Amino acid sequence: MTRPIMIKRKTNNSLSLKNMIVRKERWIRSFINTKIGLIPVIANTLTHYDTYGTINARIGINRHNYSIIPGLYASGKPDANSPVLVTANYKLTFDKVRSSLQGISAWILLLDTKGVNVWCAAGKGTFGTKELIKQIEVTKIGELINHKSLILPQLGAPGVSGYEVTKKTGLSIHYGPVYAKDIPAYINRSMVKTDEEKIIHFTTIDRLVLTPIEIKSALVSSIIAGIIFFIAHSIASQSFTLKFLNDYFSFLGAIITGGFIFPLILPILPFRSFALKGALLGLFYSVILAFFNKSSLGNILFGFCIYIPVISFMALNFTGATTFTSISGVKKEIKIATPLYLLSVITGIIIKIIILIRSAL
Amino acid sequence: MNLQYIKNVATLKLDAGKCTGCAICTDVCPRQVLKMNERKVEIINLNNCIECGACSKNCPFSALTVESGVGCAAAIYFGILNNTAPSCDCSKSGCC
Repeated sequence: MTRPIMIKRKTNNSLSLKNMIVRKERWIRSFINTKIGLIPVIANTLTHYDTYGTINARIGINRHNYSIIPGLYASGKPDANSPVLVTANYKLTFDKVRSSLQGISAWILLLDTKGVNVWCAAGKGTFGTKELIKQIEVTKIGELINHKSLILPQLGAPGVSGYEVTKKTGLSIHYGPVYAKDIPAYINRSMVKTDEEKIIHFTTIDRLVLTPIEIKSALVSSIIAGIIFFIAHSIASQSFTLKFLNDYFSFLGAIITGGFIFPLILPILPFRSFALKGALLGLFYSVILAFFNKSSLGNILFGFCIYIPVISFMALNFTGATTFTSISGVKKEIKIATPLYLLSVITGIIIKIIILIRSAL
Repeated sequence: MNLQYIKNVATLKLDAGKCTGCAICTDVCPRQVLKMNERKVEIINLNNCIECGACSKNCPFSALTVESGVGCAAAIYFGILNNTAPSCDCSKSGCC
């Protein structure tokens, strides 16, 4: 068995080279020797390994462990005049940044956001002032560059106090574009940002890539609902029965409506409130369900009482994934909607119990 | 398409007396809420504000204040149930 060659490091760089070699990170092309130590040079082209990893992360496999070692990396052949781009150590984020830097020589400084994207990590404070100062000190990046400035993603600004970083480290902070694809143009313009590059979007694609996770977490609750339906129906008919399947599939349909249809048609749903948007979609769903199921009046009422709040709740929960909602707004919605949800669901459960009791008699 | 959320809830406030017109806030706002007006900044579209806190965090003169936080319903429920500030514990739920 051959052991990986240990490379003696001159300084206390937070990058664990040994770890990286052992893990055989496929996106490391080589290493360059600098006065602050050996720096890994990254590949700018994504391979099918990266695509495979992205798909896995989007459907929730290994999603919370899709991080890379924080610290300093190189793109191309950077020197003392090359820009320094700061970003998060979430692999999906890093892939976007490095693939946008085709043919550009730059330093890339990864903060330890525990594998969370810049925007969410900034909101939580892990993409923050403290962590940035720490990485600047650990990597000694300041010694590598003449221009003494860093480029941060604009969406990192909620977590980083630029003037405090400057005070502590002497490095000035530029907030670059929101999207990694705009980085080359921004650098070519000598760190001048257009108004368009400042704006955060929320396109159909942006919303669609989020749906697998939404549905996955909702599926767990559908299994619980299925078990409850099964027990209730079995008790009512005093034997194990498949009668619960109708209720189960109706519930499943509601979850797909809330987790997939809602994000998809979000912009065309009326109302600003997510709870109301979701309730309207829930109403549609309940009506369609009643029409196709040719249900009894009791079951139609049950559908209205359960599926409207379920879809409305899923819609309200989607606020956390959007880029245009505010905490004050969500708090206001929760305050109004929660009692209504509870009232509606309890009414629905009572109706179902009555239906089951009557069918048992 | 410019998506808009509930009106008249954003807690963003500007103390024009403290503003020196450095314009860093207009550089970090992702929703075009702020605009430079001659020598001071101005809130031009309060309903667009998503309370991300980028402007207040980067204002060296504390001219802007906003109650920012995790705007995710699950996080707020979690906060209410545990009597803490809304926290988005992504290691458990599927948020962000």
